[in-house]
Amino acid sequence: MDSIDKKILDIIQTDFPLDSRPYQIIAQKVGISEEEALNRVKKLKEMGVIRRIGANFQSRKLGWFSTLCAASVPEEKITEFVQEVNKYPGVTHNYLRKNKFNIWFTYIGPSREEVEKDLKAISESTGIEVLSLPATKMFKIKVDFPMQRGEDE
Amino acid sequence: MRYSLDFSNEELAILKEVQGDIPLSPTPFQEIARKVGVKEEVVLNLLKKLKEKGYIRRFGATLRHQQAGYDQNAMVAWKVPGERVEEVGKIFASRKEITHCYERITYPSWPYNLYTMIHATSEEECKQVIAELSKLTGIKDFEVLESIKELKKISMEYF
Repeated sequence: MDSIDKKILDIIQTDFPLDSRPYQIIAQKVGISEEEALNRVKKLKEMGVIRRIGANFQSRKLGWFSTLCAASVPEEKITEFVQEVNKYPGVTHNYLRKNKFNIWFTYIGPSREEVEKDLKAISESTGIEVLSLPATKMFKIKVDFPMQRGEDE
Repeated sequence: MRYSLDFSNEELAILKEVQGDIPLSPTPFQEIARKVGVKEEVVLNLLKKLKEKGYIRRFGATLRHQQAGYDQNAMVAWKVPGERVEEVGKIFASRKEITHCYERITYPSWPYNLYTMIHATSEEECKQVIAELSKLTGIKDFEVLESIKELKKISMEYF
């Protein structure tokens, strides 16, 4: 990854141009051809640096409900519990973490009632209590990562 | 109603295309328009409108952090007295290493109410940030929820 790739990543993370020819705009900004801009993005995708390009929706604004869930799962039950939890399409992130509460996952669904119903079903089928920790206030959400840090700062 | 906005079937078809991965083409929106059977302007205008109004939080590339050099992430859950949440939340949010900061409900078995996600390029940087935040705010009761393994990571399919 060179400095042009990093510039491209900085642009397309926050502001992928909503334009008929997005790569032409990106290309102009970094001083390369449209074809090269697209080829570089293709390569970054092949390399696995870019996971996807698309829309990220704000679940709450769409009227959906999201929550963070924590569970304290005994070592020997982890595989089974994770298998059950991950079956649900509303589970978007799930991590094993170093804590008494060792399984942490996020759950998104069309309504609070539906999410709570699913979490109850998980608790009942696995015999493990799931703490649902919905947010009461958001102070910050930032999901782009500056690539040029250390060069510009 | 499933959504707070009354989307037409046409709009739902467009959103279904953009919630995943758009085509790697010089004209990705034209391709989506063709697939859905609408004019390209319809696609672009819908996306611009939803972005402007905040339904689309962000339109763009999502990176895999490990490959991008950000390989350390730690979630820290802080126990902050109710009357200090506002003040401490703002201090946390002002740090560039902190990507997410939320207040969440608590349980007797889990009394931590303020959550921060820290992304850093090294474990030392992560630890340093946590130590600084603790010193800066005087909050000494916290749990570092270091991730050991990613068990699932997908983008939500709303449509």
